[in-house]
Amino acid sequence: MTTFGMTDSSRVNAIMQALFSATATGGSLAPATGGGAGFAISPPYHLRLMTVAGSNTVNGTEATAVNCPGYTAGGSTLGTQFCAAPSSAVQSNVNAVSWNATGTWTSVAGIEVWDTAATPLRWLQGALNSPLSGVVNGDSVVVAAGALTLNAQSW
Amino acid sequence: MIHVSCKNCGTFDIVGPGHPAAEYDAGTGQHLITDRTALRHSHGDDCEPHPETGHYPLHFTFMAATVAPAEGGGE
Repeated sequence: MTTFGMTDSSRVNAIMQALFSATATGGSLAPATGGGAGFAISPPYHLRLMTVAGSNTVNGTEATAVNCPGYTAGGSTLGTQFCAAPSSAVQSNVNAVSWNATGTWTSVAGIEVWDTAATPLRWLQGALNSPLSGVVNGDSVVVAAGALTLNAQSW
Repeated sequence: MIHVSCKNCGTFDIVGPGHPAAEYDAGTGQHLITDRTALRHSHGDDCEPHPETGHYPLHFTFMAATVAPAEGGGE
């Protein structure tokens, strides 16, 4: 019996591109019998800021317009295309996302990427190594293009 | 990594080396600012403080963050 340690990188690239590079709703995955539940691919993806970071099983606590004035619950769009095509199972965001603070912000400890389905689904999450703090009225907060890295090399 | 700079001219100085509010990341050569009072604005004649806060507006830029697949997410 052979134990497989890694998924073929080409297949990982294909899955990642289907999920995070698609520019229109569609391409739903509808598994055959025994393949589990199907799911839709529903861009554009939104970047959400979390005052309490989540985990890979629990949603974080999202910032609000009250504790982070200038931010709107539900996050901001990552653009028509979230990520460019992956290379070696790594891809990153194409577009920058920015907010203009209109008051003092609570610290931001994490970020999450959600789709825009009728009932949005959370796809990606990450805690910030250093929380974003000290944001006040007049400041801007930007997630630069290429700043978000999705690495699936260990799939 | 979050890079902080003047929103207008894009630069900043730290008030004194080793200021507790300024953490230097040797790996990237960038500073993390946890307290804006650590900033001393000494450049850009056309930079103006915010009329309400009196602070020079800052630009916080996420330079790198790794996101991982989430499990069981939804709302």
